[in-house]
Amino acid sequence: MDISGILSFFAKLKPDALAIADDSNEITFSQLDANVRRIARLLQINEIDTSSLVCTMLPSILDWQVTLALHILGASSFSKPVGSRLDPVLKPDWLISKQLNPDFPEDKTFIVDSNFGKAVNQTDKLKDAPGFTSPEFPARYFFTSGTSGASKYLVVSAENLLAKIRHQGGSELVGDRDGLNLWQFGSTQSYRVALRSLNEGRTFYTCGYYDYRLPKILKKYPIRTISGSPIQVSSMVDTLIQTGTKLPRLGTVILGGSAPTQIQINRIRQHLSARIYNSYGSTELGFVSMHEIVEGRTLGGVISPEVKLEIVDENSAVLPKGEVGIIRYAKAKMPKSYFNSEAATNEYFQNDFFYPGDTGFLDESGYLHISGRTNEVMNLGGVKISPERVEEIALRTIGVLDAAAFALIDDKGVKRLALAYVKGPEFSKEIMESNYQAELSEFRVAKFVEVEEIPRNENGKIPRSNLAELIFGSGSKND
Amino acid sequence: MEVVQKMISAHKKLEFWAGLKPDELAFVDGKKEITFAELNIHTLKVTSVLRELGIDRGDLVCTMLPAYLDWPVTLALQIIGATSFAKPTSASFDLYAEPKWLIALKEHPQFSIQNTIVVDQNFAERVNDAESYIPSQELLDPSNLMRLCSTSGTSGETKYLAYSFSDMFSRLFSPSAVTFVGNGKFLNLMHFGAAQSYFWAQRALNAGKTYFTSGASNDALFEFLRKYSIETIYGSPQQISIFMQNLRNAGQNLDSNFNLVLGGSAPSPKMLEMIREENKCSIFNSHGSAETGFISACDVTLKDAPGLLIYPNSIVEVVDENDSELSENQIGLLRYKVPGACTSYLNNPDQTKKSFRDGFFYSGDMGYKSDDGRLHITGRSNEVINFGGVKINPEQVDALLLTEIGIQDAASFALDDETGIPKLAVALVVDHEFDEEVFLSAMKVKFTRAKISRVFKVNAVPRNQNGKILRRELSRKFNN
Repeated sequence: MDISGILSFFAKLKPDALAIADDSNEITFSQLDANVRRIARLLQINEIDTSSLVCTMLPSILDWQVTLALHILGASSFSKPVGSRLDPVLKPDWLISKQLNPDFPEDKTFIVDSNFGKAVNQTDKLKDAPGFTSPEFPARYFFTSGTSGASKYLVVSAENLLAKIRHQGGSELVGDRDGLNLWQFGSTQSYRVALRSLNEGRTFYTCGYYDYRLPKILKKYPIRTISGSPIQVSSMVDTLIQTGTKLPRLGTVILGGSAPTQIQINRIRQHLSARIYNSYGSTELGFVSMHEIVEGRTLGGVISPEVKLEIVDENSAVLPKGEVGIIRYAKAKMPKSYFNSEAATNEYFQNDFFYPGDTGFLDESGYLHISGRTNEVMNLGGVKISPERVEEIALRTIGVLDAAAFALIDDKGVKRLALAYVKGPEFSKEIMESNYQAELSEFRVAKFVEVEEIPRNENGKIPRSNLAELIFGSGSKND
Repeated sequence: MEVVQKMISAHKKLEFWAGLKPDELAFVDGKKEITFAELNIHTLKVTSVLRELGIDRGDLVCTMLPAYLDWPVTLALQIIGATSFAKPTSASFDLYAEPKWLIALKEHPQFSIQNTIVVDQNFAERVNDAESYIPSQELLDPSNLMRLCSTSGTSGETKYLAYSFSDMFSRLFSPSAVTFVGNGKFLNLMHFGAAQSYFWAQRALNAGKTYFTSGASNDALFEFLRKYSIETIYGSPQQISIFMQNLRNAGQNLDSNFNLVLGGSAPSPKMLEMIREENKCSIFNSHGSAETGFISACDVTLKDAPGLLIYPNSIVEVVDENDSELSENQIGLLRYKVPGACTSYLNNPDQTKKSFRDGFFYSGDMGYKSDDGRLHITGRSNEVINFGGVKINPEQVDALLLTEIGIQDAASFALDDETGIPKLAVALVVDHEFDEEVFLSAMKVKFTRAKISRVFKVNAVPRNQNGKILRRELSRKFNN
């Protein structure tokens, strides 16, 4: 893919059209072309070349420009959220960041501040863009944590960047073309949307901050589709309520990363008249299935025609429709491994399938229903129960806004069932407890813990392996 | 192989969108709206009926249908594994593509009645009563022909391009000027049988977007645009000109949100001037061919073509007669290399040899590249005249003219009408036997590809020393 050629094509075809816009910045195609070439030249002078692996930790509008500069220089790159830690799995040669990172040497760090901006402006534009050295060149790394917590990376070759443009992600299947993606820039979703926008010469809308600045961008631009994790969309709704912002134009909301709770859906419905969709997929293979969330009906996910999905038992035998089992799926040209992580590769990539660690079933129409996570089944003294089943009861109780079930080791060393919950104004503990007695007779919830907020990762998934620690502070342990 | 499998499963795409967004529009053509759920069911039912009538994998099938009827039939043929091609209702058949079947609104004088499937009330009822077809899971050969598209480019004769399943897949993702502007929704005024119309319809199905099409002379087009919030219109200069005329008659104009994308041939300065005078819309020139797909584009909103910008994945070379590349600003033959481009014409080795060499496509255009790398098209290497995508060889017309009674000498040429659109005109040296009415009605039958719009009686046809007709001189003389 000739990124340098595409930049100059649109800089000439529609120089004054917007290439990138966020809450307070607008960059046209001619500015983008100039910025990227100046940044690339500055980095080249500082010895970044095709042999360099560069990590960026920048707000998305800066990150995308620096990333394009690294692409036309032919360097390998990956993005991480501002202020995150570096890990031993993927060690960059350079860091380009807003601030110094405790894990990284100062002399290999570019600080992007006003001095950097001045230096860029005084630099000539890169004349000949070398680009990636070969189609197989590792052009881009993507970070994924899942719920296991361990950092893993996927590597995408230069030629597969093109495939990224061709594949539609969940955020592009429904709604209008001009959408805002709430995913942070390092994620595959946001990167793909940015690259597709550039390739088609249209505006990449992004937002670096999910605070009062978000309604600003939503009102200013013709954005009719929003996508993000349930948590991101919920906090967007909070901001809309706080700022008294109405969004009559917003027609479609696409939730992904984890399944939304009924409370989250109700809140979105109360404040937005948009159609709501739930998208299921993974960083590893991209989009898998999607369905509309319709009041009063439980729909299953319609599976992408590009995906081969099966429900299997523990011995990888395919189960019939209606039976809950382990979900595995495959796609043409899918990744076959994680970078530098043999153990994780062996666990998640088996028999030419990717095993995302989810359980579920296919209904009579072949639609997918997710029921839980394979690795999260709680083993309470030999009796197994999925945390989702426990949480569902709380979430159906009036006044419970959010809930997380987990195993807690009591002072006698026995594993007990615990539930953390967030209460609303109508909450009654008696009602919740009696619901549990009625619906979960085989288990007793040993401890109900009221919390301000359920901890969730960037995709909105509950980090169950260290939930007790997060709730009770360090030293506490669960299973 | 896996990639091809995805393309074969048109029914899987249909099933997916019908499941995910059943009530959203898949296809709108000014007469009909078809949702994804309707398109899915209807296509599978049509497939059943076509199978019952005997259409089989590998059969070549011609359709002569309005777009909203054509699209489900075309998809049904794709599911069966037949090769399809669409022609306008009045078109005639030729030797290069002889279909086994014809699916049309009525019987065609040139085609066997037994192998004609007439899409009438009976057919509609039969489809309604049919069971949905259950597509086979068997893989088709990726080199199987899926679609023929006709083109008059290069020589002015009808030729056919054949697309296999794998060609189709690479074309699906090739860019085009309509994707660069507006909100992504666009109205296509081109005939459904044109190569890009077919690929755009496939692309819309692949992406789960609505495909909008209509004839240019639909006088409710402005309401159509408003109803579906369409901001971009694609068509040939002729089609856009008809559309703009209707708009003017209705007292409407296009504001700055709108984009006109002109393809097929370059618009005349006069036409652009007229559009600019009354409208604030953006205007883009899109250049490409049925053989290669999109090649280059430029913005002509404010001033006439500053030269075309070549899209990064296209290679454009300017060469001399010996295929040596010329330097900047030198006029020569243009040749193009685009990934996924066609490499031959179907059943036509002569034309293939003329137009496809060394991995390049020779369009017959002449031009040069300026210092800034922009492409300028100056004319044609042969005498073919481009009437908004319909290319006509004037020598062929001259030969026909000379067979008419009372004509001593004749020359055909292009003449701009009052809106700047090129029309076919003839200059004739006649004797006393000549009767204009008889002549025109005879030509109407003999030459169906374009209408003779003006007849000029002259004392002599202007020729150079070699006897070559100076057609430009005629155009210049009568344009004034």
